[in-house]
Amino acid sequence: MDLFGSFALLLAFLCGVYAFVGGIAAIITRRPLLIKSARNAGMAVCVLIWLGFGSLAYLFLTDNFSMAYVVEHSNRTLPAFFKFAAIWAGQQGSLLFWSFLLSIYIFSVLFTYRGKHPELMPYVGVVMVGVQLFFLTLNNFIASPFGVLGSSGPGGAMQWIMRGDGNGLNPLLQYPEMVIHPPILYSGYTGFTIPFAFALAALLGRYPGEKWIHLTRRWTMIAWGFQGVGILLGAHWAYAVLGWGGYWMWDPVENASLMPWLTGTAFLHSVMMQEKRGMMRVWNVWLVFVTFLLTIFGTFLTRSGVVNSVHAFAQSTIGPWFLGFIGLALLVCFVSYWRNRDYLRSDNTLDSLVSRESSFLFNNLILLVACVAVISGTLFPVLSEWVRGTKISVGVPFFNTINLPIALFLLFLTGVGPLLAWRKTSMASLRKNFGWPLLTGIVAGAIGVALGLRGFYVVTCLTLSVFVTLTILLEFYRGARVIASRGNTNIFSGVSQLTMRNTRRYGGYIVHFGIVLIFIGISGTAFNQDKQAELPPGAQMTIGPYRLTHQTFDSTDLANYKSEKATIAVDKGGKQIIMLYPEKRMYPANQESGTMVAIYSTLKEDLYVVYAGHSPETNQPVIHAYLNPLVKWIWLGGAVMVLGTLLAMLPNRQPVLALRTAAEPSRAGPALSPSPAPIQHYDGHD
Amino acid sequence: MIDVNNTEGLTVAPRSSARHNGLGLPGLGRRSFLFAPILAVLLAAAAAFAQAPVQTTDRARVLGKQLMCTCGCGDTAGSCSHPGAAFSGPCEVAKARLKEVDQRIGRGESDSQIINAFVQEYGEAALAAPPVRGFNWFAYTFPGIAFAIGLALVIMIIRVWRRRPVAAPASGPAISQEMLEHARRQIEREVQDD
Repeated sequence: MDLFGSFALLLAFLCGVYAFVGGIAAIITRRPLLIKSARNAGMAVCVLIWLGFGSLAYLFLTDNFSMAYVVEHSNRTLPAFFKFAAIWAGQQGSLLFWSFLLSIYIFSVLFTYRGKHPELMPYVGVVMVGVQLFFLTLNNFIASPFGVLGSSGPGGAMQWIMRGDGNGLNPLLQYPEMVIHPPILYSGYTGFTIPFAFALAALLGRYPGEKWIHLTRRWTMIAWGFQGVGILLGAHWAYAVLGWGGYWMWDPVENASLMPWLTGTAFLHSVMMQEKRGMMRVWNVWLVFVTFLLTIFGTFLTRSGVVNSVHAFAQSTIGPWFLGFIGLALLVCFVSYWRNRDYLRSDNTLDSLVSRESSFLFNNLILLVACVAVISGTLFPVLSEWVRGTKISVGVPFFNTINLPIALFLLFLTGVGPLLAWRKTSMASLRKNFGWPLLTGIVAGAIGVALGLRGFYVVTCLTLSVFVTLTILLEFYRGARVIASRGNTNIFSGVSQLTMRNTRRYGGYIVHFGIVLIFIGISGTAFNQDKQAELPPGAQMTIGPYRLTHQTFDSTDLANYKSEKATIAVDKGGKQIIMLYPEKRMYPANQESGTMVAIYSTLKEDLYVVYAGHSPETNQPVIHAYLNPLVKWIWLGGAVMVLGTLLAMLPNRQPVLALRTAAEPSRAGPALSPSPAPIQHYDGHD
Repeated sequence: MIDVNNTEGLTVAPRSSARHNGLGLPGLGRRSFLFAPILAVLLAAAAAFAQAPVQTTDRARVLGKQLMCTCGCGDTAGSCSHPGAAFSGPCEVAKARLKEVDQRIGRGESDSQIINAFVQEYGEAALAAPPVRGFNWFAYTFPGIAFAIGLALVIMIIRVWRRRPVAAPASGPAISQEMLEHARRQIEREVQDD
């Protein structure tokens, strides 16, 4: 099966070369048969990668310990779903997994648009296959997961070795969330290749109009949604597994995932300017380019050993390959832009400074500054060592200092931007839309201070959260009220109709509300408490309103690990509310340990209990308890964001009332003004 | 039952042996009532001394959150939990840092003196955030510089867009049906899909 996998990947590489060269020839010659042939070769590449990936999965699931990569990341007693997850536990497998996910996107695009957009798709195919070829080069020649164990036998002949068991999977990865977090995050990373391919293709082919934007909107949202969910799942994994009481550490790997998400968010906003007004064409193309390049750059950061990270891959020689690819891609982007820059010229004018257009400009500016802040903080230790020869650390305090004001300004724009009208917003409209929400936000902040809330950022966050929430609610209420009064329905039905008529707009509002919830959750960090104590069975400790009693202590030997589990009774106000079972697991296969945190989570706060192990000095069990306010709001916010993203991807429902003419009176009352001509419903997506 | 509410860090946690005879001291039998007043005074004094390290440890942990732990966890000395290790608490490196901070606090040094002492001893890499001086200014100001450049660009773009000549109003029936249709579609988009 290892030979089958290697052969499939090698064939995929050869097919890729053909698809790439044939695609370029097809663009030049415009021969339909060649175009079709290059497209089919591109699809064949994908199928071959799936076969290669499937064979690696088979090798893991059948415990084939003649494979170096399987030995390194699996063992016999590992549960089957962790064996599957072990595929992406190391450098080689994760790069094949990247290829695999990218191939799913590429196949979907080639299949969906087969026979459509003949002027654009050959270019798209070439760009997508070009990116895929880079990863296939790594999979085949630089970091193949199909290496076998061997040693030199008598006479120098190579002898295969089959190990009895493997080294096992890193305990930190043996957690159900870790099975879904990397696939989702990688789906985000790889998904940004699609808008990149369309943008570059439209530029190279001078494809007229904003069609490429319409074609890629859903693809971009899928990638952006995956990236966002992947980041949150990673944060939740860090929270539930690492046992340090937090969810975000500004680690280079976390930063690497955040950077393309920030620029992708900027793109999703600024693209509306191009769709509506034909503006910001250059900007949008470069935003897509930068987002794609950041996905590759982030991968370079985590795999090259350039920066220190807790969960980066081991230092390897793969970095120069990524740098080379980034340089080449940047060169292609720049040359393509320079040669076709007149194609991107926009003609529209800005009617007013107080308009949706201006707010998008500022939104993009702040998102880009946030991205720059993250990049500069991540790379500053490297820069400092290079310039001064001095190593420095850039940790959580630095990133919080720099990013908190930027984040709060973004939160403010989240409330302001959507309520400004296109072209021009009058003062009356400003007062109507912002007056009450702003006033209520300020009052909420003042009440917070009166109730003892302290800290500039916390109070500002509360004020802005109330402000943004109210602006969103008012938008829903006003629209729904009009629909309810015209359709003689209730307000809830009005909200539903309103949302489904313009899913993109109202889905976007729901995403914004999710962001507000996440901000509220993050603001709770200012009030975190923690206590660590030796707690032998029978002993107690208190944290906040909770009293923790260590009742019993169990040790269990299981097939894959040894477990030490504390049973902690939690009382609040003299009443027992829950039993918690924090656990420590020791994995003999790789002599490493993992924590299983026990969390009692409410909307108000999380009681987060870690069994840290036995104290090295006294051999007594040590319990570390954290009281983390509002953390649940972050996960709720994430769920709301997913809901909003899914909603925004749905097609608009036909606006029934708007299409009704005077000749067809409404059942509920007089009709709206008749349209001068039958309006063809515009979906607004693609 | 033992209440260890006042324990901070690992150094002040009570031992379970204290449960054996109520007072936690060996060799005290029936005559112990004779020693009760003396013991009470001694215990009070001990408690007073015991409280002092708890407070200093609190301060040490706060300061420890400004100092990096160099065990590879990427966290600060004050919050090192050493993922993957047998003990998920402060590792030996973090403990050594916290102990040194405690000792310096005991010598009456101020927070800034302690931080500076660590920088002198271990270099700037000992700090969780680079000190705002010299070349490090660049790290703190770079996002601000990027913002200023971006803002200047935005203002420039806005000025260019506002200066662009607005198309003169049509004076006759020169607009084709196709153009009208295009304009109508644009209006629909702007009204319906914003």
